[in-house]
Amino acid sequence: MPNELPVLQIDLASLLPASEQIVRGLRATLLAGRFRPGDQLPSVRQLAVDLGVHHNTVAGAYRQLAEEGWLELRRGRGATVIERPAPAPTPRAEAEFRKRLEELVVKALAEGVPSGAVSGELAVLAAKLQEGELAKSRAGLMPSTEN
Amino acid sequence: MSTQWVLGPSFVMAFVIGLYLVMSYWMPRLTRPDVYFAVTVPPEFRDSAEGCSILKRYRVEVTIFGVLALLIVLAGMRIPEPGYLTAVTLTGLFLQVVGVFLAYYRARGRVLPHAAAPATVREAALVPRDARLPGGWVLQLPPFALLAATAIWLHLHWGQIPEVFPVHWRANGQVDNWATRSFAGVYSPLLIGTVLCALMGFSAYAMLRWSRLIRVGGAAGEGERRFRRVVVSILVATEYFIALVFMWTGLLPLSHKQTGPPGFIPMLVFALAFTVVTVALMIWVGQGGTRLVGSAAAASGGVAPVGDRTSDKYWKLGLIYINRSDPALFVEKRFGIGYTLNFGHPGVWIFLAALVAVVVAIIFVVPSHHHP
Repeated sequence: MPNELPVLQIDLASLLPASEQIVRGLRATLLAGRFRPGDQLPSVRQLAVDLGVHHNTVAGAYRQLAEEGWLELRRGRGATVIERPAPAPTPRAEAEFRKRLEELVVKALAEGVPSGAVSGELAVLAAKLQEGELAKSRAGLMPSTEN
Repeated sequence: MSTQWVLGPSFVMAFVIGLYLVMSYWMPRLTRPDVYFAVTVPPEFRDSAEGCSILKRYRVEVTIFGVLALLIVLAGMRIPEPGYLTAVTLTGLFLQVVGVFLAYYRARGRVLPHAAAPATVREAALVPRDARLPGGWVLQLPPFALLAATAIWLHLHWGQIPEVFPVHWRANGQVDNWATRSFAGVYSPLLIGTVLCALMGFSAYAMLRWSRLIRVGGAAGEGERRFRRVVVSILVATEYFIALVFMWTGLLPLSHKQTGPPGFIPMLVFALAFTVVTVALMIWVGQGGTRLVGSAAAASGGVAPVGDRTSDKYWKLGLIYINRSDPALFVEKRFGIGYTLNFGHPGVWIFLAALVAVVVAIIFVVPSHHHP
């Protein structure tokens, strides 16, 4: 694993449930390639203590990521990262993405964000996507050395 | 009557009061920069005019109570009767403890109007935690081996132990409690020492496993990890200290000296030196390792103060943490250095109940002392 320590952040005051925040944060970290197959994640209880949430919240997040094919859960061994082949995109997923992106752009324009700023942000995102940096910037990576 | 024995306890108590005065005087500057008198505040508050004024008043009060306590203890040295001497000495210490609490309580009351909501963001490292004790389990063995070796030594020299032997001395060095040559009478100090060593070892392990880091990444995170290692190392060192003290106590039956426990002065010097080193280490690191990384690194974290990532509402008087929804067994103290228990966690109550059960069991095992 590289020297940088992968860090998960959640906001307890967010309207988004803690479990969903954990799923999104972990998924982004996994997408960024921060883990190799076989790497261990913290135990459910450890992550619950560190984040100050109930262990069922973490267990639920781990289960969802296991169902998505990112993790393998075994009693006594915790959560292990596994090889996950990229799924073939379904037409429905692509249509849903297009629809949500359009809605977001329309909402931004309606709120007065200049069209130039919107297209500029989309260009930055596109460039990051090309360079594979998008997932990393969403993964909350912080430099450190673990104990 | 030996003068040394009359003055000894008073000097020890004067030393304790002096050390307590130093710690209480500096404590507001040893805590996290954004936790002031156990209240979450913006990090710049403690250096503001109001923050400095609160600190000044607090320091004047703790100094007055500390000096008063010291004067009482020193005046107590003139009392020839050991019973009264003990009472006066304890009165001095009690006065200081109450005085420091009152000074803290008043200062806290002045800080509360400036309280700020702490950041609600929590962070965790996505790697399994290293919960190995310093030196691993190998370093856990010697304290228990020392106590076991003492038990074997006593067994081998059973015939040399008098039927009745002294186990407690008054301030003037005269024996006031005795024990008989029985299994419980001879081995109970070693039993108590073993339980205390196990308690220290378990506490060190539990702190590594069930406490959380406030900051994970960067210099602040590194400082916190070093701080936790220092606290845990002190607990392991305390384990060794306890083993030595109870080994010494356990060997008393083989001593035929009647005026004061043998080797008391070296043991006392050792205990005081151990305490001074521990306090110096705590001051060096500061709460959460904040003095290792500097206030700026410890406090930086966005718009809201990071604090200790717990809400003020879960703290009673800023000293007792009760949060049922927090799975952590240990959290950082808000006014002090080190960790405190989360009394809202059922596991803490199970642990305390087990501890009380052990203490009660020991009380039943230890024979009642008598005066022959």
